[in-house]
Amino acid sequence: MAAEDLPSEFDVVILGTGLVESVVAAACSRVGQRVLHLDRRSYYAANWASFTFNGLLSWIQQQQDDTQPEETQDWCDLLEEGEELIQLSSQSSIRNLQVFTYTSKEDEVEEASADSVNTTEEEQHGPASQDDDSNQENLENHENQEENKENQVNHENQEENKENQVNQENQEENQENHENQEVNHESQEATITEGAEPEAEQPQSPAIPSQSEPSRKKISFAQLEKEGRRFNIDLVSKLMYSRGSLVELLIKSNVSRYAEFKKVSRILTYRNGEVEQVPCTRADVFASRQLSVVEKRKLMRFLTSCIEEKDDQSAYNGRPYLEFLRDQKLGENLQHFLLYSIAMVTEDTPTEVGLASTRNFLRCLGRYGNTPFLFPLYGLGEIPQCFCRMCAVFGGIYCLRHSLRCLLLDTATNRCKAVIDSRGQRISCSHVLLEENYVHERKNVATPPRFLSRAVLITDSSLHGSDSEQEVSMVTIPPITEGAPAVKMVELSSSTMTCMSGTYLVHLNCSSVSSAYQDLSPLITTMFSTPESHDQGRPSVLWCLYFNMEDGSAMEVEGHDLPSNVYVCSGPDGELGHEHAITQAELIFHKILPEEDFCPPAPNPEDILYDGGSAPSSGPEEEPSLQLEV
Amino acid sequence: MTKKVHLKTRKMALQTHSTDKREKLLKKKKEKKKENNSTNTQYDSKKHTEGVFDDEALQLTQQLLSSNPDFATLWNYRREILMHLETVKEVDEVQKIYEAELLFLESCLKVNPKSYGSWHHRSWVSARLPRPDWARELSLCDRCLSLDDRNFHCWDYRRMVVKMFNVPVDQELKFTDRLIGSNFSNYSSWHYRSTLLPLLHTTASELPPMQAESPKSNRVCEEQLLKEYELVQNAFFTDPNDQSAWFYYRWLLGRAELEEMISCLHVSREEEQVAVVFSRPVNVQSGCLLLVLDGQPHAVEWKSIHPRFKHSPICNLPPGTISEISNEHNLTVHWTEKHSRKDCTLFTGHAESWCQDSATDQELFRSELSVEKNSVLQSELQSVQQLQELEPLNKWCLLTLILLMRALDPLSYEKEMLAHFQTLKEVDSMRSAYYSDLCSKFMIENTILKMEYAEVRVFSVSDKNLSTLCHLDQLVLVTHINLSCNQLLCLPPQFAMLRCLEVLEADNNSIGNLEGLYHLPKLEAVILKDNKIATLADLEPLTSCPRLKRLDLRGNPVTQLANVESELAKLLPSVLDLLL
Amino acid sequence: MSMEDYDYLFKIVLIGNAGVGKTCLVRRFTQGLFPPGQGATIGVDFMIKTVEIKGEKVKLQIWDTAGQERFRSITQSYYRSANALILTYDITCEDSFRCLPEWLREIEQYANNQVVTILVGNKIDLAEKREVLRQRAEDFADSQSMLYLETSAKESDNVEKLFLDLACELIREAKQNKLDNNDTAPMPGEGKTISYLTCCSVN
Repeated sequence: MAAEDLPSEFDVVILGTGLVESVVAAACSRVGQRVLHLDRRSYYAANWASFTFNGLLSWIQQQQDDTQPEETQDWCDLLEEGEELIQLSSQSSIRNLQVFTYTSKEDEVEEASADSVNTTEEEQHGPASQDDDSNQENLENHENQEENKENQVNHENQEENKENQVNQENQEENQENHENQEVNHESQEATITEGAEPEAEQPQSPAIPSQSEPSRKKISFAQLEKEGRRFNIDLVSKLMYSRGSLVELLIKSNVSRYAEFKKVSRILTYRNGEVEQVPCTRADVFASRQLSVVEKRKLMRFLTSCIEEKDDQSAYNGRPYLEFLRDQKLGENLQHFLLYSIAMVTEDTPTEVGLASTRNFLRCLGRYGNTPFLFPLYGLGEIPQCFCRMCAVFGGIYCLRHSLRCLLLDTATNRCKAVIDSRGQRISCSHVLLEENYVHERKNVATPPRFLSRAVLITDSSLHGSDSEQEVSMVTIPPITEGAPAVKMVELSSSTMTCMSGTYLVHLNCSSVSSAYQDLSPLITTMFSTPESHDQGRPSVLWCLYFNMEDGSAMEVEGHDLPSNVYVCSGPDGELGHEHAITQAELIFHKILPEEDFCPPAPNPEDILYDGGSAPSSGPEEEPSLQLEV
Repeated sequence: MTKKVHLKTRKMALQTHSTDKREKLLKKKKEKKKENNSTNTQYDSKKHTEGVFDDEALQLTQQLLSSNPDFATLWNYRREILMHLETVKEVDEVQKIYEAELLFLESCLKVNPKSYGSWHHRSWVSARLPRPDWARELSLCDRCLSLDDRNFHCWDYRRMVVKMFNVPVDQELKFTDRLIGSNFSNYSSWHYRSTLLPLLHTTASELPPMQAESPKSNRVCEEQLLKEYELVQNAFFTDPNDQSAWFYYRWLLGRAELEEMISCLHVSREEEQVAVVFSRPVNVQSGCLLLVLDGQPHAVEWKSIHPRFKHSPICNLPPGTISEISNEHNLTVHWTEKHSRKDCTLFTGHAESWCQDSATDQELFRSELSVEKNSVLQSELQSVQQLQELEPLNKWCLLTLILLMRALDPLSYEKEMLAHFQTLKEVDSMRSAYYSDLCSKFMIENTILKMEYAEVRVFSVSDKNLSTLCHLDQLVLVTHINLSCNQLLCLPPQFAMLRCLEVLEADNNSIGNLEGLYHLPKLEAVILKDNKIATLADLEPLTSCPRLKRLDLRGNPVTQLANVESELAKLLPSVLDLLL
Repeated sequence: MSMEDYDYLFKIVLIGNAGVGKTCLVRRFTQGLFPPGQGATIGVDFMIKTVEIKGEKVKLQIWDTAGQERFRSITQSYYRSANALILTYDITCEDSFRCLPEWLREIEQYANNQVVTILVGNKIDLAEKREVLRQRAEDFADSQSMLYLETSAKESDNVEKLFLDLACELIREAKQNKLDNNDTAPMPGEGKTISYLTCCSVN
């Protein structure tokens, strides 16, 4: 695919395609700003991305190998008078990556002898102990090698191959490796007719045997790879509050037309060693078998009464929500549901915060379904891409595998007037947005970064009830031991288009206390069947990934010794919703364009008249169209 | 929806339809439609009157109906066309035409899911379809009800489909399970359930299809009944303000309707009169009652006990037939229509005789649950009491509590019942009159039970806040009645049932109407101190009571009238003891 | 969804290298225009054309790449719910043909399994500059079980045919597999009220 040169002048240059960056890109482009949107990676959405199974394996590889030093280059010849150079370098915000494969590599009938493959180099290090390493890494350059090279068509793959060859631990990746090589081969030789190869496995794909048979055949690693494209595995674990700012923004801007959504069908909780369903609606309460009728009444009464703010509530301000709940004489059952599953807070959360979360839950409930949440089909990684599409539709220019080397500072105004991209081209611009990975070295060392602990599991059955493959479950898990983190878990079935039929994709997320493995593996061994637990009757883990990701919630938009027109976009935070990212995007947008409307609705293509000539009229925008195409 | 969409353009100028432009377009379209409509209507009616029943007419009506499905005349015309086509086309073709009709109706229902015309036409078409696909119709209903579970047009249509399709009861019950599960605030679903349950037999082996004759009583097999209690409790605990669940609960608790039969027969030697009381208010033609006296049928004239109360007839026997005190007589009254009869023997030396069903034996005032299942009722009572503790001011809960207590043991719960009625009147003051009447009814029932236990003919309900009188048909044998210190406004026509009444005490009420004191043969004393008798006309009914001797009217407005004493002497010459 | 004036709605997505004439094909078909020196169309997500095929109204929603192909940066979400893909190359540009396997790889990765794919060789008006022989393209399309058509957006050759053929194929598939056209994922912006509270209280 042919590449062109980039134009040399833009209004806004954005490096990184995470959610915040993408929303700002769409918002700017929508109101007529010329936007250049870059990402050094070969995929969209940065740490918000989702991957196919094989894509994720490659990503894991990249994270582990991402240590090549970058050649330093002198860009001073591009400098004009009164300009200063600010070098940019990025650093990965992923730590403590560990992969376990609990299923047989080949398609075997008998149970696999669980072989755990630990691919982490520094597995027992908590995030805090990494500071030294990371500081050191900052001096190195993480950019992919292929940048700066002219013909990049096959480079990425070649590089992957190289990496694969270097790495001998991950044998299971060899298969993918072969595929890549084959594809490369074809492209290079231009023997296009052989391109049939990737297509060849397509007819087999739907032929997954029904998993409801009692003597189910365990899915092998080979099958996971073969069906790898059925997976869309998110790096973040979030849900969309149905009245949250992301959903409102999707509706307002009409970006929602680019995606489809599935209702989260139930909320589960883990309690006394059992997974239980949390009654969420009037109908749920009515049908619940675990609540006594008296509990039903108490729950309904509490929820109805807490909608409004009352004096007796404010008396508890500053005191734990749990105390408030206790004093309502609700009983253990209901306290658990209300605290962990509905407010989704912890024991020491103050009452006013707990009540606000409860109200938010109730406000979101019932807009679309029986829970307050939506989940996008094909994963959360779609969402930033949808905003990118909107940006592109309004003229934004997109370039993956393309980065910035440095910012050019106008010393007189302390503003960045241009950037130099990874090909050495000077591009002038009025505003620059950077993803937070580019400002690590500028962070305040006194406050060590916070981390999130993540785990991604592929399991063979659902945690609760029938394997209908239609359920999408939010699972709230209070700390299993004193001092352990409260974990938010999302179980996705294949109906969300994020995993192959017959499997479930489980995301775990919590604020890090220690490494992801230490934080989450005790819980996983109790709730699931792994070689360590051997508890039959629980879902078996086929494959499992642990990692820590930097928590973006503390990142400041400005400062960091950067010019005043350079803004930093934070990565994913640990909250379940997207409030932080959307709020930040709107904040940045208004810093750039204080007078403009944030993401006004894009016109419905069916309303556009193509009569040329006549000038577009201005004025307030139409009401957001709520009707969407199927 | 105002203004224009503003687009930044670079290489191409774009413009969106401005809203007013769109509106104009729409308007134009509508106008055009209207034009079409009116010309077509003319054309149509012309066609109609000319008796044109062809495919073209079908097309035309379709166009018109799709824009306005509530045009009844057009549907009628359409049916005529279709019926005509039936006569000239092959069965297969007719089938196709009707199938197309169903498709067309679907599109009409999408526009207006509550159109009488469309639904009515659909049932008509379904019934005429040579090879109907009821399963498809059923799923159409389900889709429609999932969009709006209160669309009664659809409910009606569904009932018809279920009947035609012979859907088994248990399957329909599951259907209501599903609807109630998704939204229990729905009368339609609960009501449908209440019609299904009596059709459900105890043994699941043989489930009757829906078209089976529904039995008289609402009896539901015990096992199912328990499940229903659980279901409905979940509903009213979840939302105690939801009426539909409470109504269903009351239906479950309600007793079966009493069989229609003769419940009491009374013979009086002196009056040579026979009185008949039925278990339920019925209007009986005189030909239906047959009196047999000592083995001989007697042609007697049955007349109503009061001109405004026709339910309990009396008859006079030919003079002299039973007046001889030394004779014994056997009487039987047959109610031929219902195969019901009552016998009684007037023994030698007795002035009267009767045969009456016992209120306690008949469990007249109790629920249908058998005595063995009292434990069930008891636990229901406990649950509702629990709810009442949580929701002390919920009227539905209080009312249900009262009903349960009555079903269990009306006498021992009397005090609680009165307390709950008091709360009810406070929390639901709009309906306090209703609660007073209901409470009066229950107090009278209790008094009847007490009287029966005591085996006396004295009925005393003084100072019980009675606002109304009822169950008077149970008081045929009462000789003394004490109604003093209540809030009664009148003695209703039914009061004429008290054939044996000798003494009426009703002081301290607000009675201004005595129309029920009508031809009471034994009435001797009427104590009406401190009431609202205002005119002589109010006392008029007393003239029909031949034995009235004592009348106490102290504290009534009527006593203030001029010449009241002499007027009364004229009006009621038999009264010797008059207190004014 | 409101009552719409069509029997079928299909989403058709164009892909292929920059400059092969994707936008021209769409504009020729939807508007009958051949814009000289056109660039990316700002603010237009997709174009609509309703055609009638055997008495059934088929609404075609035709999506263009929004220029993201220029630097090989098409979002995955672009492919997701497409019913059909038009993979376009320029018969006068060998390079655009050689990139086809790359595009097929993207399709295989991100598009729906049931997607109908058609290969289009555009710019046959420039026959003298042809670099890719028809036979070669046909063989390639064959090997991938794609339909193949050569078009000229400029001369309007085969453009109608391209979209009408696709529409026919899509109707055929939709009829075989009725589920496809009416399964609806929930969308932000519309919804029923279900909540703890009854309809008469809040909400």
